[in-house]
Amino acid sequence: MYQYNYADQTLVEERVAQFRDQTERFLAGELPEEQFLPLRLQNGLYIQRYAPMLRIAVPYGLLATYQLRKLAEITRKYDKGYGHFTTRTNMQLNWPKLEEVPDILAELASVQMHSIQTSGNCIRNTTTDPYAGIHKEEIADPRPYCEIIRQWSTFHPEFAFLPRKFKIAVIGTAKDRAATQVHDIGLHLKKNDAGELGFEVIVGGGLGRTPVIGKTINTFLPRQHLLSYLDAILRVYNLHGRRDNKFKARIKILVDSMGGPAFAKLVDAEWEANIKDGPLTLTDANFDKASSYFTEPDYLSFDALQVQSDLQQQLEADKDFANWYQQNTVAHKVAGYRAVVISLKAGLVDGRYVPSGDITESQMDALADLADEYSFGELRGTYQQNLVFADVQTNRLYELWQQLAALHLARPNINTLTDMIVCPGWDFCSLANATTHNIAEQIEKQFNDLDYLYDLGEIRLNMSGCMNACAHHHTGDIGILGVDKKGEYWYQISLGGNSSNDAKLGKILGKAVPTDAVATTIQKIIDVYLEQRVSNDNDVEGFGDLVDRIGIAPFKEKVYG
Amino acid sequence: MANHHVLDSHGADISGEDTWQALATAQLPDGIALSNLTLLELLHKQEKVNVLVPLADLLNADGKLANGLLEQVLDILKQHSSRLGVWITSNTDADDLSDVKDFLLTQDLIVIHVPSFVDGRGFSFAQTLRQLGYEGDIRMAGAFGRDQIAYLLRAGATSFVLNEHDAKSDISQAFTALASSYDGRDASALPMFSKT
Repeated sequence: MYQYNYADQTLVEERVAQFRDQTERFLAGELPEEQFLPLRLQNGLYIQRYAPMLRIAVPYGLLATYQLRKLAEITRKYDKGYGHFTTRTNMQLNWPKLEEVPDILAELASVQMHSIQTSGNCIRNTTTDPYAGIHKEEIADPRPYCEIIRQWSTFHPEFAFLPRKFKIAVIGTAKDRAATQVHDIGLHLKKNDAGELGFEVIVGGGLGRTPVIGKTINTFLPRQHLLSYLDAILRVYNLHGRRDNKFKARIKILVDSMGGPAFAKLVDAEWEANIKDGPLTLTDANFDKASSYFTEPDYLSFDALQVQSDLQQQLEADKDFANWYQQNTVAHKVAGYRAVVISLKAGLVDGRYVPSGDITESQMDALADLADEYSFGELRGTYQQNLVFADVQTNRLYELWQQLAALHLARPNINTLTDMIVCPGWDFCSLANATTHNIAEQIEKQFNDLDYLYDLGEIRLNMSGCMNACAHHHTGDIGILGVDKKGEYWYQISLGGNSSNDAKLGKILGKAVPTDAVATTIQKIIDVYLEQRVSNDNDVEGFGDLVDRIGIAPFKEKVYG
Repeated sequence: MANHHVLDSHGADISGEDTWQALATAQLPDGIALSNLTLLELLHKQEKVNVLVPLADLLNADGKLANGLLEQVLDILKQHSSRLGVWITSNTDADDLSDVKDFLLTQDLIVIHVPSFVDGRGFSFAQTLRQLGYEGDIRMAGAFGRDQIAYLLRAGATSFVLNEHDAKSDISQAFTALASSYDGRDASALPMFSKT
């Protein structure tokens, strides 16, 4: 992974010094609240319901084990011994003290980490595919481009006070595992007929209170123009995006108001007039340098037949292991290796619900040791709030699984109904209108039979505690949105959303249901799916396909009829 | 008006030698220059002074330099001033800047007025002016904050109008914050590609 050089390290340390000064001036009453607010947000610091919340950047989801150990240490020392992974692969701390945040940032800087631009109206952490660099069908590894974008966007002097936040996602496979079409900019690596690399550029996607699928404004941007073209998009947005209404300030509103082609024309005009072919143009030497940080680890070679037959024996001998292998491991481009998904959806542990994406300090330390032992000392965060060991030897899966299971990190539920994306909700977030954890717990109790979940197949359930949609409820097969009705929490359900290649927004089922009826309502929806799905020998109709085919009327009938 | 100061790109107070005066117009925001004067006062002055005028008032509906009466007024302004500069606001149409590029490039001073701390359009105006080839003084005025000065310098600003309180406090750090960061114009300056 990318290693900071002297310049990166100096820069992060300068940022810590700057924020320490700003915090001290604020606490001394010398920096007005309205100026400190955007400054602290650009350092990842929110003021939440009970305490500040600090969002720590994990650039494109990549974490080294020494960094994870530092996160564990920080949660022990400054917080309550746990952290929370988000859909944009960052880690949130829920209980830091405002006056200690500069110290936390200094500790992070010692392991090349920071909270820079994890919030505020600026360019946020760039995200990508958790299987970057290891997927068989990859056109090119997106990580070098993510790192180039990270460096370009970090403290970009022109774009720190945009009309609204700005999120970029990059993928290198045809299959979209990073929800790129609901980002402000989605970049898809492509190869043209001449074999040159470039990007399809999608702009203006986003969720929140006005969910929109992005529009392609450039089908092939040669890669050397990546930064100059991004600069042009951001400048058009910075100058033309609405600033009169916070809820209409995202780039999606600007793009929608004029249409994709007109927006593309503005970008092209800006690009060609001022920036194209200028000093922001990247060279092949630049790309080689960036790629040099993401070389393959020293993979071993194996006797494929032996590995396969050993694995087969283990799978047959242990049903639990077989379930985990089936659900939580992913094919790797190198024979003899698999990627392993660590489920951060433990569900009920000793009768207590563990919130989606939460991880304790002892789990972090233990995972760091395991990643050193089994996956070249690196981990990755995923859009679904899980973690990935990218490079695990197939012949060591069984022993890794046993150790993960002992840590409650081997629940074999990846891509099932209980692999829920859930925001922290009212319990922590001051924006939230309703709680989410109690609803997730209800769903866990309703759907506690693993074989039943496997029979349902892949179903994405996303739940947000307010219309800001941090948990992307619009793009779940089943989406749940918490709303407040006269001081009571109600839950609006939508069906048929998707964040992948055929990205679409779910359709609202009907009026919201009360707190105690959410899980039973989900059960009715699932019953309709089981009754109506069409199966043949090879294929079972997926939940989204069924909603497409029969519409939401039958679900409505079952729930409200 | 007396409570404003002008600082150069190093944070030195240059109010003493600053002789720019803003032409008083209906929309003139506070703090574009250290002092204002009316058109009538300008015409009656014996000596020539440095005068700042609003770019918006010089343009026609198409964003081009107006001809006719306005053009004659501009000529009179030029005759009565030793140096001429313009001020723009965040509401200036960015396309206008390119349309009147040749005119802008001849200005001795361009002041960018920032209506509120979080309105970041000024950053893009400064950067755009530099990319158009403007080499003169770009001065920030209005509601920007000291914590934005380091970014503004990188975006191309070279002087700053500050209120009395900010100008008199120790703000040297504001001019040197994030000293190592990238200026947003050159890929070779990214940490990964820089030679240092």
